[in-house]
Amino acid sequence: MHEGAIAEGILTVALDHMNRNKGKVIGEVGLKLGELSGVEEYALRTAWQVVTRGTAAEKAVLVIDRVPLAGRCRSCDRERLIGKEIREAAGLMEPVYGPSLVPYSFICPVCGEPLEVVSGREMQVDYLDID
Amino acid sequence: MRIEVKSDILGENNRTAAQMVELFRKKGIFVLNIIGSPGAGKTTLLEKVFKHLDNSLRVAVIEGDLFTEKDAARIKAMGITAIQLNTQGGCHLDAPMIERAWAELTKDRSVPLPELLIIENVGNLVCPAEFNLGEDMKLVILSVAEGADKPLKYPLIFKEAGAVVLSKTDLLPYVDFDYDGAVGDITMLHPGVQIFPLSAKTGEGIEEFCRWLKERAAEKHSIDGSSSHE
Repeated sequence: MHEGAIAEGILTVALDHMNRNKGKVIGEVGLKLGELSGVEEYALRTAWQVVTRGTAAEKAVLVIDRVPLAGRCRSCDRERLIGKEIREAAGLMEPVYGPSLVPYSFICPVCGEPLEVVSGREMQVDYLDID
Repeated sequence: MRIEVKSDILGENNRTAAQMVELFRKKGIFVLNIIGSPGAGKTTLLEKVFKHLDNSLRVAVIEGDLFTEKDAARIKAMGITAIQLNTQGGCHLDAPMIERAWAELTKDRSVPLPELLIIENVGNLVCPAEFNLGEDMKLVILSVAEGADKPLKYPLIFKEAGAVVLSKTDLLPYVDFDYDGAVGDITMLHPGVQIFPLSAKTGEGIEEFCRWLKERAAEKHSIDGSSSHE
């Protein structure tokens, strides 16, 4: 439950960029959140309403782009979606809420070598709509 | 008007953390950020380690808890410098807190700087994984009493950790902990990560862990360490 700190982080970045671009009000904030970034969407939206009260971002809508977890094999150089392939092969259900957390393997199923994470750890303000 | 930002949400924390990394690099101090559930045995492990080290390494500790000074008091009782941070409900430590604690720790300039700085994070396997504190390495502690399913349930911290301690191994005969399964899952999440099974109760594995700590501290010090306050 660190969404309060994350909402404050988003607000700091957003107001800073609004000011630099001589904006007065923020209408939309685009976020890129990796599948493995520990952010719970509902808690974040609630925290966002609280921290933006009385600021230029008070009416700003959060648009969240969830980035899937992917890794590249050091040996065969192939990129894979981590977790998804194993879940499909094992016939495991995708959960009703949120991405599945079981099981993530960071080992290439073909080479047995470690996968380097290439996406899925993002916690980024991507864009702003300002007036 | 749409403007491109592409800026890290935790940028402010990461900037302070980067300053702390630079400071600790200059001073040659190895910094370990210890993360584990409430009751995993973080403070007890530290007590056992400090007893075993027997002042062979200069150590300082930053203790993080929601409330109370209990943990810092336990460490101070062993003659080790310790600072308590109370987050008053906050679920993790952040880099600016470490910056303030470090200033407090080093206030007395007649005391030599530590060779090893240990930050004991708030008991939590979730949030601390996201906040860099300027450490060299995160160490996650999982006690066998918590269950072997935890690595897969809390994958990020096992992915981020540079080493893993499986604590309370003396309880293995009494709890249904699938040891090989847990090690397999940890390795799947983080291929090649170092795993230390140990028991603060019986002392099993403590010597090996202490040797590893001393090696890390010596390695860091030999790169660029100055140990002076200047």
